[in-house]
Amino acid sequence: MIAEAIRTGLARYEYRHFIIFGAASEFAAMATECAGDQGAWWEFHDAYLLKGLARTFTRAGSIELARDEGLDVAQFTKCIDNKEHADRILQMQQQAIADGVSGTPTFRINGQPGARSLNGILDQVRDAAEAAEASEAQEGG
Amino acid sequence: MRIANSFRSRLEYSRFMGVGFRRSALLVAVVLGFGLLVSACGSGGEPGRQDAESATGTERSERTERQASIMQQQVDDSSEEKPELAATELGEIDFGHREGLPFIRNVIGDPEAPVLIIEYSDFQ
Repeated sequence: MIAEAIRTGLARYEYRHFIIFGAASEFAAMATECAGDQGAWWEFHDAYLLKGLARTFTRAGSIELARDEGLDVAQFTKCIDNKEHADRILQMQQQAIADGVSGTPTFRINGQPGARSLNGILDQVRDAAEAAEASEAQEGG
Repeated sequence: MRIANSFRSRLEYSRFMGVGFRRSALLVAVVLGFGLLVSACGSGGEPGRQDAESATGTERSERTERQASIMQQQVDDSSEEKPELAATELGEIDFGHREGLPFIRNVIGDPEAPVLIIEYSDFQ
């Protein structure tokens, strides 16, 4: 249902880092952002989160992954070594704290706290999408 | 040692001031010369003034164009210095269960979509 809302242009989904497991997680977040510079944000996200590639939580592992994905390895390495996205990650962390986030995963739908269950989140997205559609129809007619 | 350092820095200071004075004098001379030149042009006849104004207008236009070009170059240069701006174009995911969805970095979907779903998460 969420994918459908995204496909039809009603919803957009944003992943934000909220580091709770320390340096390795912070490194993975940095590597993902550096991969994002070269258009491979979701490849790294999936490698870390969905495929559970624990080996890539190291510098050598992430460079290997960058090579596998066909990225410019020199640019990627420079980015992770210089922590070029440290500010961006810190900003997400601060925003999470300001939003009252204390664990992961935590969802927010149009600024409102997301429900605890998947069905609850789906209901919220459906309601928000219907409200947006109604508002759009009102403006159009 | 300390005294020697103090003496050396004072010596360097006086040398610096000497260079600074010479530079100031040169600058004053240039400004005065330019002022005299402008005043000479201004005291000419009407056609001369028109030519001067026309030339000044052309120069101004050229200068404006040059400044715009420099500013554009500076904007281009500064965007090259920020790698995070490199991947801000809408792409399309070509793998996995999100295949076909538009994305910009960590955001999937139309950036103008009215419903925003945020997930805060950690990779571990």
